[in-house]
Amino acid sequence: MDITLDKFRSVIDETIERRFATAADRHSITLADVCDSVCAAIKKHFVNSKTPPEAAEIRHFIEELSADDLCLVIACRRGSESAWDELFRLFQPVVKAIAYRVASNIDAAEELAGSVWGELFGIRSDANDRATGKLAYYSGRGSLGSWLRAVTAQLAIDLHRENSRFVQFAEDRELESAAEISLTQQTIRPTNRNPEEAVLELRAASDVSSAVIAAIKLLEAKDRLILKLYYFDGLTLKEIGQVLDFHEATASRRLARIQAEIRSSTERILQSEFGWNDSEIRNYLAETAERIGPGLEKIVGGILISIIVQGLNLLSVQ
Amino acid sequence: MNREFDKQIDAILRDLGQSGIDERQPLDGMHPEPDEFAAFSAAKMSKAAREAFILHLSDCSRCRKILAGQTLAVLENENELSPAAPSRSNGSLRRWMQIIPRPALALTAILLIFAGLFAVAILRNSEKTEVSSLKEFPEPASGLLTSEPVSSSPEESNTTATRSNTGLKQEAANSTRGVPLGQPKDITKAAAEKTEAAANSAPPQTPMLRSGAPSDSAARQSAEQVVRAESATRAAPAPPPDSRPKEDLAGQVSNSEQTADAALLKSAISKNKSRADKQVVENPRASNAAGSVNRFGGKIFELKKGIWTDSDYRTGEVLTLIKRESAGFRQLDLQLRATVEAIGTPIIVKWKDKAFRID
Repeated sequence: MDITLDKFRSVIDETIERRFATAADRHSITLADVCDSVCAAIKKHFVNSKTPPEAAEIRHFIEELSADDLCLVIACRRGSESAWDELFRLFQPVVKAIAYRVASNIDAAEELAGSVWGELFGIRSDANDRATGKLAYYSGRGSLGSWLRAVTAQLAIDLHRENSRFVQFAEDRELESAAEISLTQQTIRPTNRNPEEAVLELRAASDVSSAVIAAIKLLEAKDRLILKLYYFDGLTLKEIGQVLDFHEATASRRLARIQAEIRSSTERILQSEFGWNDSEIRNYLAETAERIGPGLEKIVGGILISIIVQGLNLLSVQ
Repeated sequence: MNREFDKQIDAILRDLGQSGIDERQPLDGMHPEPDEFAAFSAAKMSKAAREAFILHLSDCSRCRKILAGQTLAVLENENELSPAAPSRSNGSLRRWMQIIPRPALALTAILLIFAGLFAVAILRNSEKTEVSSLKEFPEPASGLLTSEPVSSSPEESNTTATRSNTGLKQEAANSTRGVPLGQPKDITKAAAEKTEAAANSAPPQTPMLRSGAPSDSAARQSAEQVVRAESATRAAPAPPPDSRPKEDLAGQVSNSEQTADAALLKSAISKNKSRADKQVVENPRASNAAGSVNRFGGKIFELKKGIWTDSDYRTGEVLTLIKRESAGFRQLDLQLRATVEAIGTPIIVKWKDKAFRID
């Protein structure tokens, strides 16, 4: 939707002046410079709206912008050396921190941090002979630090994918392939059962995997995100809570609920699509879990017994 | 509603997660811009935009990684700016502890049990060390415990003198010094070995009792003394007749008499043990308050100038000097001998209106 901002000009100017005057002054830029950037951000933000924005929405949007960060970036885009110095001084630790986190080693992290600054500054120039780097895309929504982290993480992942010449697949294909991979892994496992039992077991495991994958697709987007952050991306409940802005205990409760939903959906799918009955579902779920899981309780029990025996031996020796 | 983790589903999902399915990304390549991530982190997204963003994240491993890296880097940066990549093993352990509470509790219990066993083992070891260090002290001179030859004659050792208490120490020292250093001991090598073995079989006397230093607990002293006296009783009949000093052999009680004597001594000690224990329990503060006070058989002994002195004894009273290894000592009353064995020497005891100094 093409948004015409002329009718909101007075609202925009008034809000910008109130919100940005101090910051613009500090970074030696004009409010006209700020207005250009803000208007671009407004257009970008409301471009996907089904209805035209109201004046109140636009005012709210402008008031939510990070004024100081946006003015600093505008000053950088205008080629201010002091602004670049300030940007580098303030955000070099931020970029390094995220680079060290996402890179595999220190050298790669340093290289990544350097690349980020190159991308931010830009190697091309516009019609006014100004460098057009990624910094031009900062709209002021959210803090500059957070934006820089996202840029760095994005760059790191893209570089990694470029380097590893990764073949891209659709996400839908991912889950299906997971079932295939799981199946392949199972076939190469040595077994001393008779072939008929092995085939049946393999078939059952495949059915369970397919049903679980289908159950994941049935989840709500947010639940699916939590599940994937936990099981596929390896985040802890605490980290999930931090990423999605809720408490660890909430994450735990939600994950338990998601598991219950997955179980329910899986059982339903196994019955309706694969023709399993209740006892088959119960037995095969337990068997599959036992085969996959490490039997932690048995391990812990074994450790407990061995420690007690060792302790008693120690006492008897003394 | 409080739900527990479903272990079966959890195991299946973990298996799926380990299959590497998160290494792919959508074909369309339309990912949110960094601006969207910043807005999401700052909760400055409209509801519709947020839902669209979450929908994308739920199906895009690349953007999930960006979001996780972006958010968690902030938290790490708040704590410390560490160049090292975070350890996944710690995260895995935490996850394991979070999702499986029962094994986590079991692990805690294991650690507690192990710590308890370790503490008990250390305590036992320290007690053993204490006992073994006590054994390293030389055995006190005792007529019942050892057959150490007495250099002075029975007449000398049994000298009954009327002397003042102040001159006693010098006198006793002189009687010991009267033996030439080079004089061969009147004992065979075999007898000496047997004597040593007998001496080692008895528990040692505490350093406090030997040195005269105040002890930390009179109750403990009393118990140790009783044990020592009992051991002494057990050790008494051990030396064969030929291992004893010649001067002791002459005119002494026979072996059978010694055995009977020892039995009587033992019974007397056991009688007094309960009484002493009772006294200690009744008045523990008195025992603890004075570290140089000891009780036995209803008598109270104070350690004065290295000599256990009966509280009934008054300075200036006439003392009868007796060597502990001498025949005269063996002729004393059984209870008196038990008292001496229990308390230790040198000792001044008031017994039946007479005062004895036994060295």
